[in-house]
Amino acid sequence: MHLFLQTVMLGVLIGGVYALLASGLTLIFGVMGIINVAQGALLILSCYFAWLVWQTTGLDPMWISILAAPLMFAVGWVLYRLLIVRVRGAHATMSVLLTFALAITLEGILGVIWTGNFRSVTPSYFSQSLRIGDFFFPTAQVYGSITAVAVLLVLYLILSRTREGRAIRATAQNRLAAQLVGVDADRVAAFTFALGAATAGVGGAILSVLYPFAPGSHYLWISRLLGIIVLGGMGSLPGAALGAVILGVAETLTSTYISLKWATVVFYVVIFVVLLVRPQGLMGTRLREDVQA
Amino acid sequence: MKAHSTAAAPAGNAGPRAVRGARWAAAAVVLGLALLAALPALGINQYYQNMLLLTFLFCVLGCGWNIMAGYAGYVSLGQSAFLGIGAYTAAILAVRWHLSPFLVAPLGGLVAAVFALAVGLVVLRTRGHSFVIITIALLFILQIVALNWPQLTNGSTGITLPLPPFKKPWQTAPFYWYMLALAALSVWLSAWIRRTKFGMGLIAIREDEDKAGIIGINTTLYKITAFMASVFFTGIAGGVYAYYLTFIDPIGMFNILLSVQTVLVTMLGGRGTVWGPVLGAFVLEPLNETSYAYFGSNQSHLVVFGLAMMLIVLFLPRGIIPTVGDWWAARTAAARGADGSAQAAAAAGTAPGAGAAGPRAAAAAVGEEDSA
Repeated sequence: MHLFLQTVMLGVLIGGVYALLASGLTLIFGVMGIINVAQGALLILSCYFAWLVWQTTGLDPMWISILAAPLMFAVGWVLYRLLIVRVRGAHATMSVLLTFALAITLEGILGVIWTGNFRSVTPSYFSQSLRIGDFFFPTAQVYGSITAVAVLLVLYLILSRTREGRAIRATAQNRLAAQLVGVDADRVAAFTFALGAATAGVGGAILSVLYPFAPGSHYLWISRLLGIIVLGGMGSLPGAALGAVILGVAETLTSTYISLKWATVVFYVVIFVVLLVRPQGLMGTRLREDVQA
Repeated sequence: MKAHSTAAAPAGNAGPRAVRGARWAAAAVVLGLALLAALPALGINQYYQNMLLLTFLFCVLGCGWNIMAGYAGYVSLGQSAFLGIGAYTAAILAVRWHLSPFLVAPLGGLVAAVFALAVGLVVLRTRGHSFVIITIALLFILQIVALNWPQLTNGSTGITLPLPPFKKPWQTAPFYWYMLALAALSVWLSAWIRRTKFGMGLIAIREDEDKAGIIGINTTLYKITAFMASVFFTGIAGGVYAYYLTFIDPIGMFNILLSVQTVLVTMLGGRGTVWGPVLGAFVLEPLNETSYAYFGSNQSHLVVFGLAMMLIVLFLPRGIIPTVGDWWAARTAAARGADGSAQAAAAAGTAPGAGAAGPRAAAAAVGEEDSA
């Protein structure tokens, strides 16, 4: 029982980080209706940024994650203005192919600069664990989860309290109506994409401590994140959070009770099962275009 | 139903000139095939045989992908999963049954089609983005299963196939001919589908799935059938490719890079056209070899592929064949000048929009790309 509780709580902690990582992907889908296949690559880009800064300055990765947010926001903004805006309004396949191409390019560039070897950021608390009551948790995981949840709260405040945030939510609910009341759809899309990249910025810096990464790791992460937002309901932020926690727990349970090597399969199996049983996910309505108004 | 009218138009007013043109085209295809088939006998060296063999492989992959992505408008990013399925099926059966992989390769095609059926039943009942998501998932789930199920797949150690019995200088030729035959069959299947009511239905689905359903197309049945057709020859090619390599492992066989190249080949040549993937394969594979020779490492290769795909999506979204076809149509229309035929006016009308060649223009003009 103790092991079970320990496993579930660790799963919830991991789910907190996953929730942050998935928030950007689901936000971009909700507002723009495109699957940003490059989200995983942006994440890995930020991992390398954190690794580089940590190596040169020794700054704590959790602080680097705060640094990475505005930087990746800018990267996202530029990518949108340079690339994504050109396929707005085209067949949905074009945006998938373009972001896929972007992901491969980023993977290649990172690989050329830092080779395909696995890296990880190892601050002093890297291999320590924290004792809370009767339970032990990896210190880095606890810090990472706290940072992730804090950033998610900021994201929530941005979406609910600021003018830009309200414009984003309005566009996600009904683009045409949002435009009718004066929302600049193009500006909102750029802001959303940049915000999505910023969440990848924070998430990547956190990940750099928690998991070893290589340029090719983005496939694993985009698959995980797709599993999460398919489960939660694509475009739904609360859905992504719920899906993240469920999958975090499912993953730790699998690795504790079955085998570590099957843990990632959970995500793929969930994708299949959800699409078979409930294609709109737990809290979404937007995966199927045909059920949209 | 723009696709219907534009595609039907050439068939509708097929004069003697068009018939003669079609005969010439058919003769050219037969001649080209015969020439390609004769090359190993004419003694071209192993390097070029290998390059052409891989070109044929990309033809098979591209033509298959094109049926789903080009005709029906459903993009798969995991097409190489079916190459892996075919390779593993052929390898496992050949080793267990002590048969030539050549003989069991067609079973790989069947197994791939069964997988496509299963995946199709899960996601193709609905519309939208689930297909692209599941194709990525499928590739990686198969890779993990192949890694972690050593009883079936020998895990990360991989499977060594029986050594081919062919003597020098004929060691590559049988693979070459097998792959050439598969490429020819793939083009034939793709062209045949394009001509039938089934193919028209797929294009209707791409253009507007709701309306396609309304006019009585069983969209689910059409999409699943198309998906199975799009992976069948890929599965067979997997077996031949595995035998050619004589060794397969999960990382090499469930390789996303092959999916990338499949997409690139078809996008470059012209999505939704019969000959687009063929042209793309013949352009890309030699470039592939050259870029390996120049850049060496896999990583810079990725940059080249990624940038190429970006440039194609942004500046040549319809691919070479439709773009050049429109340019040619505009040119001949201009040459015919003021003779005022309706056809010339129509061609000139569509050409400037396509000339702007932004993805948006492509979305608007997507119906016309099939007339090429």
